[in-house]
Order: sequence, then structure tokens, then C-alpha cells
Amino acid sequence: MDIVHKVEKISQVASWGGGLLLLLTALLIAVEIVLRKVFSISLGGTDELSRYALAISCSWGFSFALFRKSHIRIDILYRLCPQRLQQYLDIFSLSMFLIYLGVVSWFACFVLKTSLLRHSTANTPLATPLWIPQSLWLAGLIWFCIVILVLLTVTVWRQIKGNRGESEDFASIVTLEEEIEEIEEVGAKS
Amino acid sequence: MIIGATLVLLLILLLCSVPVATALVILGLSIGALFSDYPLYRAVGEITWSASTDFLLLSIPLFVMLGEILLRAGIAERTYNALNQWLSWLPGGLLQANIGTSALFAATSGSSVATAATITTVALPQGRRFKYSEKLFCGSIAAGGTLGILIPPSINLIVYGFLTNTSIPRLFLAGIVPGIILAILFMTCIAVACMVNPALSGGRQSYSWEARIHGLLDLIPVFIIFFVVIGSIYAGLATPTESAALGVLASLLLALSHRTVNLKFFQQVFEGTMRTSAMIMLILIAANFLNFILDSIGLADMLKEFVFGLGTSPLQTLLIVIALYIVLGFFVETLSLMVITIPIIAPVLIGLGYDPIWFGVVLILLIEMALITPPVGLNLYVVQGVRRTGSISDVMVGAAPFVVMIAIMIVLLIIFPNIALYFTQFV
Repeated sequence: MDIVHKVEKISQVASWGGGLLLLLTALLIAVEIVLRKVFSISLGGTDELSRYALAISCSWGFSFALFRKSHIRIDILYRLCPQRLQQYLDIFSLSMFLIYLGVVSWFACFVLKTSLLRHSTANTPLATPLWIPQSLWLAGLIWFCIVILVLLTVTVWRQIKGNRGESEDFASIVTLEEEIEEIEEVGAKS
Repeated sequence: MIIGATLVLLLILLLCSVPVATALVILGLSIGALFSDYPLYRAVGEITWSASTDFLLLSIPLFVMLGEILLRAGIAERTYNALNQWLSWLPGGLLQANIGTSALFAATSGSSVATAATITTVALPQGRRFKYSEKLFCGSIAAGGTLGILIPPSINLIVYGFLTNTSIPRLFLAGIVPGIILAILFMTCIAVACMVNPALSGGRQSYSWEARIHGLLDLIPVFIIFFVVIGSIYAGLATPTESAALGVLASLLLALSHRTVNLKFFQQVFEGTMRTSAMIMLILIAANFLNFILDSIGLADMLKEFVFGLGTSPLQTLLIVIALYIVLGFFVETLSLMVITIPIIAPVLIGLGYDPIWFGVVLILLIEMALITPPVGLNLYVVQGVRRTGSISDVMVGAAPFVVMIAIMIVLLIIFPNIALYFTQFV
């Protein structure tokens, strides 16, 4: 499934970008505090820019968290189900995810459209035109929709063809063993 | 009727293993459509944008990043070894170091899985070498890992504060004393157990003062980071988010000084930060939307009236709520448990006259308990997962004394609410 790996790679790179954006935000805020408290200089607008950084980095990070199976699912019943039923539950979960993100992205488009039509600017000294951060944020949400759609299609397609087992799965719930192995791998590398 | 329908739908979605964030929004959309005459769903875009740009919530990814930096820079190992040198004279030597390191570490790290796993990896070989009782050894790591969610900076307290509109600095201040008392209770429990039954403890190690002083070099920076983060909030220098940013800067400097920073390091930190914070943020954004719907249809008020109508005394209601959390804590993952129950239960208790800050601390203690009670105590499984040999029931038995300590702490807080509230009057 080449397309899945491509999509995963893009999501991973997006997560590096999101992480970097958060790190730069943290450093900017830290510098701002030092300047403000020690030299009584205010950069102004740090607070506002960091809000946008949060929205953008998160919307682009959702898909990476999905690939790493980080989005929490309650597995009390799931674990007791036979594998076939688990696969149906995976498909159901992804469909619900798609509905959620579809609805949010749709109405997020209206948020952006309103900002564009009214030439809305933030009510701050920077007066940032809101469409700039909002369109980056919306792009992340739409990317997340695409990722869910790809995973859902692949999972359903495999279900129809019945060739589970030999290939890796993207939709199931992560087991703790997998998670710990990953942490130990990281520890071994560092 | 509405309460029943909401609960049933929520249960169905969760039991079908729908991701928690998704379940909350689908629930919100459905009951909004069923029980309101207004098209509430149209607000989902605006509400998502405003929660995504909440300055307070930025503190969550930043605290996660702070923990990731410390973890990937190998600070956990150094802290463990140094604390062991300082605590080895106490009855139960390494066991005390387990509690100390977990408390220091989980306090800063966003992922309790990563923290508990890392500390188990570092500590367990030593515990085996010196022939400690493996049950108590594993139990102490699992229990120690829970301390961090009460001792600030705590992401769980931020989540509670966000959902109930409570002041984060006051919550942090309220968490410190109960957190320290609980750590002391844990350590006393270990010391007493090891004095009564010396077989639980292992061979004594002794360290020269020279080694201890040298170890301080590894301990002091961690304390400095803690004081930068907490001190800057209380001195009025910084908001919680700003203090998190200062913490990220400080921990990055520390990592740089250990020369552990390279491209691979940043890649790990970024990926670790993004997957944890994206997960938490999506759940909070979803919970925020559900709250909006529940407020609009007046569900919280209905529930309040329902509870008041029962005619139970405030204490009885509190005990019922505590029992409910203990039972739910057996089965439900803790972050999900918090976002699902807090918006509904907190207003009821606050309406009965309980202090929101105080209830936050009690709730966190209940969550700590949930992390180490079978069958779904996450920390138990993490320790067992790293351990790989023996049975999970060893870890459960080893953690049991600590569950009792948490219960004692909750009782203390109910009798003496000022343990948590005394210091909050200064902010």
C-alpha cells in the first residue's frame, strides 16, 4: 500500500514542522518574558502569534497522532471481540472520525469565508488578518480528513478482498506492548 | 429523558471503541439535533477555532515538550542514580529512589507511559541486582508514577481547570502540599514495610559524600527547572503558559549542556510532543464543543436539579461521586474519564457548596488511584510490560499498599480541606 506510506511520511514531516513551530513559540515567549521583566521592553503580539501556532501545529499534528494510534479508544469490549468484529469496529470508528472531521472542516470553511468577506483582523495591536492563520489551520484539518479517508478506503478495500493478516494494519487499537517496545527502541538509539 | 438518552448514546459510542474525541463530538451533534430547536451544529467551526487558539491550552504542548526534552536527554537516568545516592540510607533504599525519581519526573513529563517505562528500564536491573522484593519494587514504580499528576506542573490539573474554568495557578498551589504529603506517605509506607520485613528490601549500598556531592550536579538542574516553572507562576512573573515556555528553554539548555542534542534528538522530541499533544488537544476541543451543547440544552442544570431532588446531604453526594470514580476508574482510561465526567459532575458538587479547587485535588487523587487499580490501571501494565517476566498480579499486589495510602490522603483532605486550600489564599 504505497499511498498509505506516502501519506504517513507527509504526516510525519508535518509533525516535525508542528514541533518546530511549538519550540520556536516557546523560545519567543521565553525571550519576551525576559525582555519584559528585565528590560521593560515589550515585543507585543507574542501572545497572539503563539495562539495561531497552537492551532496550526495541532491541526497538522492530528494525522500523525492517528498513524501512531495515539487517539484514545476505550478497548474494554474491543479486546474481547473476535478479530473479524474488531475489523468492523475499526471501520466504524474511522467512519465516525471522518464524519466528525468532515463536519468540523466544513464549518471551519465558513469561519475562513467570514473572515475573508469581512476583512476581519484580530482585535490586537498586530491587527493580523485572520484569514492567514485560519487558512493554515483549515489546511491541516483538511489534510487530516484526507488521511482518514485514505485509511478508511484501504481498510475497507482489504476487508472486501479478505487479505488481512499478511500486511500491517493501520486502524486497530495500539497494544501497550507495541507502545513500550517503541519507547525502548528510542532508548536504545539514544 | 435527555440525561438518559445522552448517557446511553455515549456508552454505545465508547463501547464500540470509537475514539473518545470523536465520540464526544458525535454525541454533541446528535443531542444538539434531537433536543434543541436551534442549529447548534453550525457553531462547531467557531468553537473549534476558539478552543484551538486558547492561550491557556498552549501550556499543554509546552509542558509535554518540556518532559520529552528531559526524557530524551537521559535526565531520568541521571536523576535516578543521584537520588539513589542520597536516599540509600533510608530503609528500603532503591525503593525510595523509585518514588523520588518518579515524582520528580512524572511531574514534568506529559506521558505517564513514557515516564514509568523509562524509570522501570533504569531501576529494575538494579533492583534485581540487589535482590529487592520484586513485587514491592514494581509496585513502588507504578505508584510513584502517579505522583506527578498531582505535583505541579500537572497537565491533568490544567485539563480540570480548563473544563471547570478554575484558576490554574491556584490549582497548582493547591496540589503541592497534598502531593508532598502523599509522597511522604508512600515513603513512610515503604520504610515501615522494610523495617517490619527486612526481606522486602535488598542489599544496602553505601556511597561516599564525594559521590553524593558529585550527584548533586545532576539533581540541581532538575530542581532549577521545577522552580523556574513553579516559581515564575507564583512570583507573578508568568502565566502558566509562559512558565511552560521558560521551562522548555531551561530544559533545552540543560540538554545542550549534556551534549545529547542532535538532529535525531529533535526529531524524537517533536514526534513525541506532537502525538501526545495532538491527542490531548483533540479531546479537549471535542469536550469543549460537547460542553457548549450541554450548556445550550441545559443538561447540567437538569442534572443539578435531579441531584438536589434526591435529598442526599452534600457529604453523601460526595461519597457517591467518589465511589463512582473508583468504580469507573477500574475500567476507563483516565484522561477520557476526566473529560467525560468533569463537565457533568463538577458543577453539581460546586453547587452543593464544595470548593472547585479542593474538588480538583480530590479528583486528581481519585485519578491517581485509577492508574494503579486493576484491571485497567495503566501504570501497572506499563511496569509489567517492561518487566516481561512473572505475572501482572505481582505488580498489582505490590501497588496495593499505595492504593491504601491514596485512600488515606483522600480521607485526610475531606476532613481537613485546608491541606489543599491553605496556600491558595495567597494567590
